[in-house]
Amino acid sequence: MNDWQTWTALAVVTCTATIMLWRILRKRKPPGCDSDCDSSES
Amino acid sequence: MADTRLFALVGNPNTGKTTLFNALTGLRQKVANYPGVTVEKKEGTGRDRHGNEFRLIDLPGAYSLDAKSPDEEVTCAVLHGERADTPRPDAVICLIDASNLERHFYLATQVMELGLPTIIVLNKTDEAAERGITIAAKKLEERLGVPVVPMQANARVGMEQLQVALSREEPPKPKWESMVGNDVAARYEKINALLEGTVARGDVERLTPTDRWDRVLVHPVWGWVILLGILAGLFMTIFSVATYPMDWINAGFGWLGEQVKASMAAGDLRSLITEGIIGGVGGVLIFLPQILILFFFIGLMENTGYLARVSFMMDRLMSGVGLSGKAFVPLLSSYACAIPGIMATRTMESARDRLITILVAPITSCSARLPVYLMLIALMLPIGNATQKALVLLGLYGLSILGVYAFAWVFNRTLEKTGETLMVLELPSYQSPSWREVLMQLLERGKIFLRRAGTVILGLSILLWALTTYPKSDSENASEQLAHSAAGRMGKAIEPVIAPLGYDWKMGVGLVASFAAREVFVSTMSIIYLGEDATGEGNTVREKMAKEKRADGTPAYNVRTCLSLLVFYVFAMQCLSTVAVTRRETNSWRWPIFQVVYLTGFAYIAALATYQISGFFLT
Amino acid sequence: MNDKKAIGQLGVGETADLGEMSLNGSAGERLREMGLLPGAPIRLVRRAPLGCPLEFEVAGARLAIRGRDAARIFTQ
Repeated sequence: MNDWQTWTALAVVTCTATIMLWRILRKRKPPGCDSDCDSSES
Repeated sequence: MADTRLFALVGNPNTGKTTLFNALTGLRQKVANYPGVTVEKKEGTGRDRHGNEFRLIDLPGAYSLDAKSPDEEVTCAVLHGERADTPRPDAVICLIDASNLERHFYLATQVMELGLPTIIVLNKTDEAAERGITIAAKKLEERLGVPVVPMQANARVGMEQLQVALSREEPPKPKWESMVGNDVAARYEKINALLEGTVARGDVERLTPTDRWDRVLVHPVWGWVILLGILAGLFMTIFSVATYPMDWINAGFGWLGEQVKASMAAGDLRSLITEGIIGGVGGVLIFLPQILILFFFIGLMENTGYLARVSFMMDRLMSGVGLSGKAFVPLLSSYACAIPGIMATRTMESARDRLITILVAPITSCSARLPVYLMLIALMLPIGNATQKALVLLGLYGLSILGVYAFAWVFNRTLEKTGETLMVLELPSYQSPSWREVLMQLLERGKIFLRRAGTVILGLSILLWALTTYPKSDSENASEQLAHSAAGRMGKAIEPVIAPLGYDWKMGVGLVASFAAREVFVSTMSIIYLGEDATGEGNTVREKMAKEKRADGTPAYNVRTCLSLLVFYVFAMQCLSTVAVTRRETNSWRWPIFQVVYLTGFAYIAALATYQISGFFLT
Repeated sequence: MNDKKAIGQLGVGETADLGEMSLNGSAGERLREMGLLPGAPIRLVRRAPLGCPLEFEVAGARLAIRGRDAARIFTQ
């Protein structure tokens, strides 16, 4: 059950969570908002 | 210093700045934000005749540098070099509408007083000619000491002359005496003196094409008929034409999923890729065609000048609840996405009006809700029935409009008035649509949607897949596995709260997940239902959901539940990006938090009412 | 000879010369900046289908102004 797929998948998930958290925290900094500032539209 | 020069493009709104900006920069542009305010910052690069690069910044339209709105404040600040994030421009290109020199020179003279090298562009010379206006550009050039370039930006007439002016090593500074103080009349006197003898006006009393169009488009009867026809046409197009590209996209993702399955053994990573990534992102991307159609229609209306007429006609309806006709465009844009809509409120002079508009903007049914609406409508009504489906969709939009009015009215009553404000809406001449511009805008919007799908939605899909997969149970039964997972447990935990609305715990999982972004509801449902079975095509998600049963054997996604879900999604505030933009625009956390609370609270109540009351009419 | 009236009371298609305004501070300034100066000719083009706002032709442009504000702008 704990084959390479499971480990890789978990690694991907962890990386994703870290990246997303980092992006949110970076945005909280006043006011410095550069170009990719999630002013994105749907 | 051989640094690239920075030109600033200034002018009144509706002068063709965007057209000229596009002509000079092509696709080399970038849209961002000015930190601290939600004013759009548009920058690009172009090349002059010597092949040197220059930077170009498109400053927000302004009527004068005595700023009366956030837009104008930014323009004024940038020109004075007062913004830390933007260097002072090296030179200014000032755009003037050749049909209305005096008024446009009001801003231009203020700009010239900055003492920067300036190039004056007389745009829309074709329209001026139609009105019998001819301008002696050379004379003006002599008087001002700076290049005066007649142009038709949309037809690219005059570009070479502009390029020559841009490419000068030592661009000249204007010969214009600074005026002290704000005396409007005095400035106009000086402007008239400047223009004396340079403008010839024929005695043209005939009706301009704009007049002729307005007779029909703003007609007390036909105007409405046409407007409603356009909006109806938009929705019908979204339903019929868009299905073709949607099917292709669907098939494409299905094929991709098959390829992955064929090349990997079953396991977590494969599941992550097929259900999490392909299922999640694909489930949202499939709505790209419809979103593009929406943006296309709005872009076309704006480009031709029709949108201003719509504001004109709708103003009376808006002022009844304390909004202005100027709020109509931001609110209408919010039907595509509330984020640019809220940003568009920066042109509103009244801070109070702006606040009310921002508070109600999320009620407009933005394009992120479309995937949710379409999915639920498809579940609610059997296959086909395009008219019925269109009607339901129209009904949802109608409900959102009602919601906007109702809440605007409430806020208008409860927020304190800060004094009277003036609304002035300029109605530009109609112009035939510049397809190039509309398509470029579409491209830009499409890119942004894809970027968001590729980043935010992708990330959320991966995380959601994890939440619906781990912790794993020992059972083989997919439903039990889901119940055992983190997401399942959250869904079960809120089940008692959402049961009166007609929802089960799986929908609960979808609801919770979509609080970050609405369209994630679709991805989540995709993951939940795909994960239960090894097959993976778009339609099977729908089929599976249709077959889902409750404890008592009746369908889970019956009409009442679907209606209740739809009503919930009409009102609930489920978009982190909107929260972020509201925070930036209002400069506090109070209002975005208020938005989330009042909207979600109301959504709950409305969905509850829908479900319970519909119980009297339907099974 | 010339009755002073609010521009909102002009007939459709009628032209008159602008006079005073009784609008406060920045509102009045904005209108003047846009060319609504005393003596400038102003023409009522149409009323919106719902009665409000009013479209005027003045200072080379078409401007829509609300009835409530037009009631505070007078002719000469």
